[in-house]
Amino acid sequence: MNDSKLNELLNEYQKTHSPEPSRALIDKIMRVPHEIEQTSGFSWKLSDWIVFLVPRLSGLTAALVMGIYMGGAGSSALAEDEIAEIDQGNIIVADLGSALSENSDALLDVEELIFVEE
Amino acid sequence: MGTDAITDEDLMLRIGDGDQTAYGMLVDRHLSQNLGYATKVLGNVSEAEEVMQEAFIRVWKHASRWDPARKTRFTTWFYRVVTNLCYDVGRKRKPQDNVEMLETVASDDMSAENVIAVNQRSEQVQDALDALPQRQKMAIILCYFEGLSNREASDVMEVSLNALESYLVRARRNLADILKDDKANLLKEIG
Repeated sequence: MNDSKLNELLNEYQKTHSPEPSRALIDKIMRVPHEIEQTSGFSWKLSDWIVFLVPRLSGLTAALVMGIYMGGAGSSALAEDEIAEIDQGNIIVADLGSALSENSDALLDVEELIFVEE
Repeated sequence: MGTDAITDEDLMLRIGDGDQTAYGMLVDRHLSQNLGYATKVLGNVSEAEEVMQEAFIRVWKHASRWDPARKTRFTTWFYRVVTNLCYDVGRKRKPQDNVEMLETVASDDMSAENVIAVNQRSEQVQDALDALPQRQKMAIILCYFEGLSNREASDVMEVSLNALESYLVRARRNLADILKDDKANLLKEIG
């Protein structure tokens, strides 16, 4: 069967299978607001509550964890102490470095002497 | 401002506040079209009428929960409601149930023979549609008879655009095959 014949049959079917709504049906549907109470915005369904609560609780928990991790006063004080300790260490090492550089000529002399003697 | 300027989504918000006039306007806009849709899906007017009644009860009851932030179009949502209700009716049908078929709306200038011939052909098309897998049938009804775009139909069926197009192609091919066989059988019976 070709496309045009199929379209022709479908068009014919469309015309015969598109009933107009009966008066009785319209009346029944229009009575709905008088007979049926609307659901309030509040829902008792567990799934609705899960959908509502899960993202909010997750966000809140994540914010709390981040707050504890990043914003704790004790840990930042400790970090400052550690930095101060490291700086102090650098100063000591730097001092030792200068001491070594002052004596490096003498050391080289000693090495040279040992080499010559060998 | 004319009533046409008010969108279906606005009407839903007003219905949510208990506005019966808005409900009436929505019924006026969508009853006829969706009754035709349900009739084609079910092949039966009385069942389609029950479906429409239930669909509008859902509109009234749940309008207060309509969330405009979701950007869902009312027509898409309502087609989904009607589709699901049609599926429910189809599932509840017993195999031996004889569904009352639709009477042809005959125009005055049609002869009795013409009416019978149109009836027979329409029944054949209905049988062919019923023989299609559910998704192919929905695709052809939504796109061909309801005039929805492929994108809208894919939204109603909750499938991708590619899947919808594939259903359409297969549905037309299967329909042509089934109707060709029917015609051949009829000719054999007459001959």
